[in-house]
Amino acid sequence: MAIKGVIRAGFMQLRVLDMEKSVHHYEDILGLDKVGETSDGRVLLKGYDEFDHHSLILRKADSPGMDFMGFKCDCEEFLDEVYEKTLAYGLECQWVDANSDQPGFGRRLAVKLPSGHRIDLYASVELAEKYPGLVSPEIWVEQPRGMSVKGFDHALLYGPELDKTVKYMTGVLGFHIVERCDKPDGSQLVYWITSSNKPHEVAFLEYDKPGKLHHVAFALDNWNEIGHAADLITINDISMDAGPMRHGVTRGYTNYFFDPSGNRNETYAGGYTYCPDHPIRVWDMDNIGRGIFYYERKLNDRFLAIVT
Amino acid sequence: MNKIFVNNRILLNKEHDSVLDTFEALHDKHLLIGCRRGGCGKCLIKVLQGEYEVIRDMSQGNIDLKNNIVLACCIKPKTDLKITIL
Ligand code: FES
Ligand SMILES: [Fe+2]
Repeated sequence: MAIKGVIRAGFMQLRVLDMEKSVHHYEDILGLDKVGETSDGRVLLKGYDEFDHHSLILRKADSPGMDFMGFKCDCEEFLDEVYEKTLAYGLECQWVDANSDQPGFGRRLAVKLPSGHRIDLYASVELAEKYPGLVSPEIWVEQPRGMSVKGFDHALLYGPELDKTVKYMTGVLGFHIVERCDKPDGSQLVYWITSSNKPHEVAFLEYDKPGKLHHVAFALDNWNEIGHAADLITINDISMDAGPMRHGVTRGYTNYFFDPSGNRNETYAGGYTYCPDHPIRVWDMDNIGRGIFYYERKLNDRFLAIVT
Repeated sequence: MNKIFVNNRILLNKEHDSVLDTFEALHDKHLLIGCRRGGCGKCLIKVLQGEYEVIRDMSQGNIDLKNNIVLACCIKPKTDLKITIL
């Protein structure tokens, strides 16, 4: 499979209430590396297994949630094409200068989705100072810390106008629908979509309030690491949501928990390999509990209601 | 142990527990247990009587400190409290 156009989810800028507690959470417990700080006080982080300059930005604010999520694309020409097509589709978009608010990043195209989220598309990023070995490499360069998350993986976003949003993501940006959940009236509640071989790069759920973050997920390798992450959740008295468990959707292994500002985090491992010739898997409301919480087979009260 | 008076019930607050922790420990479903970290805004209450301490930052969305409208996961009773769930 030649991965073209949008190649993957690349970064998220997250709002936090308490910077010190948040840096401790993401750096010491999840195990991301701190890359630096911007002049306006935002903290840049990345996973030990990522190459790009940074993948998580923390911004101190009055309320938590996400500012925007970035998707990396294969070339600059693709961005120019998307600019034209986005305007033709009827969405607002604008260019963000290279090396402006995101050090190390080339120009970005910021698109306002019908769901109320801002996504940034970009194709050029500087190599980080620390990155995985390239020449007869070891499995890591520095021993990973804490949960040892490898990097940013995906996010679930809540907002209105699900159909219009997903039509843009698929029709203009070339994402594939991997799984979806249908409501009894035949309309959709959730779409899990991808631009790569991963079973999801992002998911959208129909919700009345715009621009909400349900969770931001970081990658782990396997079930053992999910168990180790769950140990650290308890040892560090992190607010637990659910897990360790498996999803029916994507078949991945997972923990859900909250950062010190109430943003939901996920550590995610496994999941099947998606290929663009695969048919869409469809869930209904009677079975979606098993889709999300495969072992408990029902959602907890928090899952649909709690977002930032 | 401080008491939390809510509607016609009395909940006993253990030392170190937030108001929300008290609901959670007693499996009291009148408050949805959300993020427990002051972010999701679901545990909004009004303190009608008594003194409390704010133990973590609260999302500024719906709170109103002057009128004692606060997030239950972010406050700890210093005295008995009378609260109402919003
Ligand atoms: S439970 Fe989320 S703000 Fe209190
Ligand atoms: Fe997820």
